[in-house]
Amino acid sequence: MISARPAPRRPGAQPAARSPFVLLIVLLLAGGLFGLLLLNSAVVKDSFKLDDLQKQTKQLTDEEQALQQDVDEYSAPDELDKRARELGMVPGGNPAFLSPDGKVKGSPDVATAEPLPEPSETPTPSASTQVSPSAPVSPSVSAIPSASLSGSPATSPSVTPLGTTP
Amino acid sequence: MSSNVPPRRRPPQRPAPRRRPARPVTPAGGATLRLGKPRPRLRLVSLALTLVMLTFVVRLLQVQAVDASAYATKAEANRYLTATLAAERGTITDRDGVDLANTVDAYDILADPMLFTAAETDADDAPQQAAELLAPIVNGDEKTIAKQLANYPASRNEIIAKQQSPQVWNQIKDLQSALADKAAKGDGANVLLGIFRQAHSKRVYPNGDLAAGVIGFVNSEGKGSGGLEQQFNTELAGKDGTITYAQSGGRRIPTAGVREKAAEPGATVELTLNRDIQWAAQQAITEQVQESDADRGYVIVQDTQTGEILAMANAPGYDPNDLSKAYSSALGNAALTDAYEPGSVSKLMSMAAVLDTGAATAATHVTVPGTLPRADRVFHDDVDHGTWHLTLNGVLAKSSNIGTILAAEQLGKTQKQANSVLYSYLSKFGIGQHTGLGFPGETAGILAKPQDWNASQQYTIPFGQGLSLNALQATSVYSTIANGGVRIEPTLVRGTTGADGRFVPTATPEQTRVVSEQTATTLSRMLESVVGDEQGTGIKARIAGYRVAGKTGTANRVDPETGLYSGYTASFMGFAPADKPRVTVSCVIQNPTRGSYFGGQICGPVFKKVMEFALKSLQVPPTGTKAPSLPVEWNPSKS
Repeated sequence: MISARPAPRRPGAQPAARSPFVLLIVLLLAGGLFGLLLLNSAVVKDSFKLDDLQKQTKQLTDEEQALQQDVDEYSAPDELDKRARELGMVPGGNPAFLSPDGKVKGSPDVATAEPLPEPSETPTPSASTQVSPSAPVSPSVSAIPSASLSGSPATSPSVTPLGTTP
Repeated sequence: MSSNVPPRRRPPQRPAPRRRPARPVTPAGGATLRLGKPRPRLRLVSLALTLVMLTFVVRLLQVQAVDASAYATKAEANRYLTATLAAERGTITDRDGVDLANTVDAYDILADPMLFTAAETDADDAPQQAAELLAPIVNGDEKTIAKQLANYPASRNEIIAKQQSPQVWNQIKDLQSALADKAAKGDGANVLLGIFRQAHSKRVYPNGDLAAGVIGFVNSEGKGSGGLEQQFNTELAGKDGTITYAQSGGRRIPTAGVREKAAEPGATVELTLNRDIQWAAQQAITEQVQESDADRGYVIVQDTQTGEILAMANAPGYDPNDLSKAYSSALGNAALTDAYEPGSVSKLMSMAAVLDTGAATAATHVTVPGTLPRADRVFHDDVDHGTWHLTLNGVLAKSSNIGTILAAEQLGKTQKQANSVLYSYLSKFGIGQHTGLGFPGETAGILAKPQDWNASQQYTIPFGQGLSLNALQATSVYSTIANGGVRIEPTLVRGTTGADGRFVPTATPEQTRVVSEQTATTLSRMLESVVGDEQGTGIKARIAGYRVAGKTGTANRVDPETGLYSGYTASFMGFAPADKPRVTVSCVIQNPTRGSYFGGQICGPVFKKVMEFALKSLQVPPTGTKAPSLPVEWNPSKS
C-alpha cells in the first residue's frame, strides 16, 4: 500500500472489475450465515420435537403401566375367585371329562355353594376293625383317646420319639 | 498505524529529501512537510511484529502441542457429562408367561421445608395447608406430613411418600400449577412450591402374596434380598449403561459427539409354577392352617414326569408389595428352609428298600404284636392293639410302626447291615442332600451316617423319626415312586430370556434310578390301599372317579426353640392317577393345636382340594381302571 500510484497499464489490459468479486464474497458470507442460522434452528426445532416425543413416550409408558396394573389386578386369581362367587359361581367338585363319543370319565356330581361335608362313600367302621389306627375310619374322632398314644413324647418330652401316628 | 505514519505521498515538487532540519511550522499549510526516515521505523515495527508473532507461535505450540492433553481433559471435564442409564429389572413370570413380579416407574415425593416457611410462601400455615392437600393424594397422614414440612431449619429434604405412581405425581403437578396460577393473580399463596420428585422405580407383585415365598422380595435399593429375587439377582438386575454427551449450561450440544452405552435390561426368569394351581394350593393351606391354629403349613405340587414344581405354597404368607406389614417369621420359603421329622410318610422309603431288595413282598405276612421291645425302650403303635395279622401292604395302609420296624429288620442279616442298606436307599431318595434348586436358605435336612445311628435311632428311622428333611425332599420321594422309580431332580425355573430375546432353558435335571419299576408299581398299589382301603388312614383324600395313591403322616415335632419334642407335624403326600401319575401333591402342617392333629384328617382334605384343582387345570382325565385291592390282613388260621 505504500507503493506509489499504479504503474502504467499495458495496452489492451482492462481494469479488473472489483464489484463481482466483492459481491461474491458478500453472497458467500451471507449464504454461510443464513445456512448456519437455518441449521441451528433446525437443530433446535428437532431437539424440541425430541423433547416432546420423549415426554409423550414417558406419558404413554406411564399410562400403559397403570393400565397393565389394573389388568393384573383384575386377572389375579384371588380377584377372579371373588367375582365369580359374586356372580353365584361355586368351585366345581370332582373333575369329570366328557369325551367326544359321549362317554363320561370320572364321576361328576352337583357343585354346591358350600362344598359337601365329605365324600359320600365314607366307610362305616366294620366289625373287623376293632382298633383301627386311622381316625378317619371312625366318624367319631373322640373314640381314639389321646391317652393311647403311650409312646408319644408329648407326654414324655425326652430324647427320642417312640411312636408315630398314621 | 496510518495516523502515526507520515503521509504517504511525497509532494511531487520536492526533490529527494534530505535530513530535515527543525520543522518549520507554516501557518497556511501548503508549505513543506518534512518526514522522518521510514526505514528504521519500519524495521522497528517489523521487529515488534515478529516478536509478537513469535510469542503467539510459542504460546500456540504450548497450548496445542505441549500441554494439549492437559487442556483437553480440563475442557472435557467441564463440557462432557456422564450419566448412568439405569437398567430395568427383569420380570419373573409363571410357566405361562403371566407376570409374577415386574418393575414400574415410580417417584419418591420430596419436600424442602425451607420453601414452606412464612417468609417464602406468604402464608403462616403453609405446612398445614400443603399437608391437607397432599395427604389424600399420597395416602398419607396429614399430621405427619405437616410436621415434616414444618421441620425447618433442621432439615432441607423430607421424604413425604415413597415410590408413588406417575399418576400421583401428575396430580401434585396439576395442583402446583393451579396454585401458581392463583398466586399469580394475587389470590393466595403457592404452598406446594417446595414439593419435588425423584425417580425410584418400584418392584410390583401383581398377585400380592401369591408364591411370595418362592419369588422373594427386593430391598429398598431394588436389590433382590429373598427367594428367587436373591438367587437370580445378577440375571434380573441387568447391566446399567452410561451416556456421555457435551453440554453447555445443562443443555445438550446437539452436534457434539454422544457416546452411549445402552443399559442392558435384566433377563426374564420363567418359573415352573402354574399361577392357578399355586393359588389353589395357597388358598387351601392357608384355610387349614387357620382352622387348625397351626404354626405354619406348606403345600407342594410337582409334575411327576418332569420334576417341575407347579406350586409351592406357604402359610402364613406375606405380601411382598408391603413388607412393613409382614411378620419376619413368615418371610422365608418354609417349604424349603424348614427341616422337620417326617414321620409316617417316610415309611414309603423303608418299604421301597424292603421290596427292592427282595426282603419281602406286598403280600408277606407280618405278625404285629401290640408292643415291641427294642434297644432300651418299648415301641408302640399309635393305638393300643392286640396282635395284628397284617400283610406288608397292611402295615403301610394302617401305618404300623411296629410292622415297619419288623420289616426293616429284614433288610440285612444283622441290624448293622440293615441300617446301611436303609441308609443307602434314603440317600438315593435324596434325603440329607440339597435338592439341587440352589434356593437361598434351603436346608439339606439331617441324616446321620448309619454307623452314627444310636440304639433307638436305628428303629425310629424306618418310620420317619430321628431324621429330618424339608417338604420338597419328601415330595420328591413320592414323585420318584410315581415316576416308576426314577428320581428327577426338582426344578423351579424353566429358563431365562436375556436381553437378546433368546430363551435359555434350565439345564435338564438329573435323573437317577432309585428302585426298580416293579418295586415302584407295587409301592404305588400299596399307597392306593392307604387311600382306597376301608382300613386305610388316608380316606379323606379320596377323589371320586380317580385312583389316588398317598400316605398320611403324623410325626412328633421337634420344637425349633427348645429342641424338645412338642406337638405334631401332620402331613399327607400322594399322587394321581395312581396307574398313570401326573402330579404329586404334598401337604405338611406344623404344630396344629385346634381340632385334629392327624395327617389324614387335616392334610387329607387339603390334598384332595389341591389335587382336584390340579387335575382339572392340567386336564388329566381319570384312567377308568379299577384299583386291584391288595389284602391288608391275613388269616392266621388258614395258613
